Amino acid sequence: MKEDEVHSLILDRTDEIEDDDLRSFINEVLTHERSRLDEHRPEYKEKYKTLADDYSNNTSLDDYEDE
Amino acid sequence: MNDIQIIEVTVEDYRSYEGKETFPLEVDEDENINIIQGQNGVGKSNFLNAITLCFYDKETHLDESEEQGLDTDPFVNLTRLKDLDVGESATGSIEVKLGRDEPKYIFERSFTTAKVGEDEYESETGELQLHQRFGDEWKPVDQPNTRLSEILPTRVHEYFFFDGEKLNGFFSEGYTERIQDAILDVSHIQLLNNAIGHLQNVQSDFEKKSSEFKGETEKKEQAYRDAKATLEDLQDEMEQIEGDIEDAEGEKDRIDEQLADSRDKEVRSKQSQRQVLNDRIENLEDDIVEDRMEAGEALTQAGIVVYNEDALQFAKQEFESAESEGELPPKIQPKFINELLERGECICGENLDESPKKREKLEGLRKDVPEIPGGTIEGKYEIPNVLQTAEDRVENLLEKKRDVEDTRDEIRDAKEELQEISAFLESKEIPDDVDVGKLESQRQDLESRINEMQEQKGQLRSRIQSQEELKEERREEWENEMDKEEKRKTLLRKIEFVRQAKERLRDIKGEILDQVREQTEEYIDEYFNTLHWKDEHFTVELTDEYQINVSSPSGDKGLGSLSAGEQQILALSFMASMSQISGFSAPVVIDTPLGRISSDPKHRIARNIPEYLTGKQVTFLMTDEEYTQEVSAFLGDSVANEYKLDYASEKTEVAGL
Repeated sequence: MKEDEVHSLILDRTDEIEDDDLRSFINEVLTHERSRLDEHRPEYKEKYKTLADDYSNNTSLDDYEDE
Repeated sequence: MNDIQIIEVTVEDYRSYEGKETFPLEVDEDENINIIQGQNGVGKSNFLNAITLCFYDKETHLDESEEQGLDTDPFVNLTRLKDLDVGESATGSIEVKLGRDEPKYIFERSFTTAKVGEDEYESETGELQLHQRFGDEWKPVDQPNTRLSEILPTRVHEYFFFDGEKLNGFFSEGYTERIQDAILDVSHIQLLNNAIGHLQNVQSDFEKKSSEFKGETEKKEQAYRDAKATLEDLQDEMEQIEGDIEDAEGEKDRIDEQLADSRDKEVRSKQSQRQVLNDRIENLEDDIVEDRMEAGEALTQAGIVVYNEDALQFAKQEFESAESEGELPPKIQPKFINELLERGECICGENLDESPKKREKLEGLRKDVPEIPGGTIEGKYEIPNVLQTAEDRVENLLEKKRDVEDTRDEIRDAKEELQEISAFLESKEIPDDVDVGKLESQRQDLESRINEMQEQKGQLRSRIQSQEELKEERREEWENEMDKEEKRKTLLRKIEFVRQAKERLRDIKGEILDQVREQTEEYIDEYFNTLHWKDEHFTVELTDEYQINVSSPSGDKGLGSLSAGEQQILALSFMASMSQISGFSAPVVIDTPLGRISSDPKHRIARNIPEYLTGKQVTFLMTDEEYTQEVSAFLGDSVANEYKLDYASEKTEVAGL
């Protein structure tokens, strides 16, 4: 494992997520958390909101409602 | 090496180390072990503390006796401090070079000890510094703690840098919690917990925002539809009434044609007159519309002056009063006065040299004129003009109103004439002709109905206009709600997306905990059997409740029945499993690894140590009792660097072996 990588224990499982957007979103969140693991109050909100904007665009609400 | 290793540690004036001491520690795959040998108290633990102080600003491996004296025990070497006067201070530093096959990171932390009294010192540490190599260049890194956390986070470092002797109590009461905590530490559950918690916060923010957009789209849409339906009803009604009017007009025209075709000359004449009168009334009604418009314009023009007439009259009187009191000069240009004075002749033709009074008057005027604001003089002349304009405009307005009245009178006269014609025709009875009276009576009814319907049409037009405005208002309200609803839908989509991500991470967390527990069990089993001196195979079990059971073909061995040596290697096995599972490719430094193990098992353990943590740099800090000749012989082929520490004259001396 390289210094800034998320543990393969986690990545092995996120790789199994079929939805590309959900998988990419989760991986970006984990990479961000990994880089700030030792910070007491890391910044994350704006970044995650922007990521959610980007990745949730391809998913319509009906997709969820159908589930 | 695949893993990161400590290439070199340099301590300068740190505790028992006086001056600068450098420990090159680079290893390779075959020779992966470093030995730093020394009796208790010569500075072995200080070496381990130097690493944790440099990285984490913390000395985590103090003896109890040292911990008690921590506040007074200075960081800087005592020999250095002896030369200081009270109020003076000295500085030392620790530098750790890390890398795989060559140095990549240099972490450094300085510390200062100040002498605050006789044998009284206060120490403090500086910020962590980091230089990282990029190609051939070393560059400072802005956030060294972030990079360190990537290599080995604070919570995990104790599974890499630890004191073997302190593992004695590892399996005492409450050890299952320690094992659980350790597993949480190394399995990146903290990372998942952080991610889950932060996603929850983001989800809550979206939910809060979403409630702001909760609209009443359906309600507003219904209101819009109702307004539209009402408008359509009114328009239908209008269409109906216009049709009725048209029918009635048609009926009236038919009657007019019959009357116009009467055999009676007088009837035809009256009917013809009626036609002329109707045409005239129509023209007059057009005129009256035009006259009203003109009267309206005249009122607009006259109004502003009329409204201000009192003020203007007052201003005019004030000007007149001022002028009569000599406060306002006539409107004379200063240039003209100058010309008169230069020419020496008054405007009346009199020589000014012969009439000093007139010269004096002119000079007075020349002096006064520039002091009076231009607007004042202008106002004096303009106000009467404005008042005159007002009079003209009012007169114009009155004239237009008279025109309107005259036209009305004409229409009234024409209508009276029509009534007379109608009355005449209604009473007319002509044998062998159309029934003029009856037709006229029908015509009157029709006209009356048409008038009523025209009145209804006017009211209806007004209602339609209001309803159109209402419909537009309702449409805008509905569109606003639609807009809000669209935003809300977008937010709901994001909320659901973030919730799914969060739930997936929760699932992953549960799966990982189960997997890590199983892996921990496998690693402990492997290392315990590797390090154990007996040939029989032990089975190590880690239960769901994080209890450890050890069994062998000769029977179960509860933790309590394990010898001190067995407990020590079980603890070493557990620590090694934690460092492996953590996934961090960091080096391992163990102080006094075999401290509690008697000589015979110790030698056997030493024989197995090269198989323990293969491929990872392992540095052992060993006492002379641990690093015996036999142990040295067993480890020989795997040892890359050996150092011997001695303590003399209050300082640690380092020698390579």
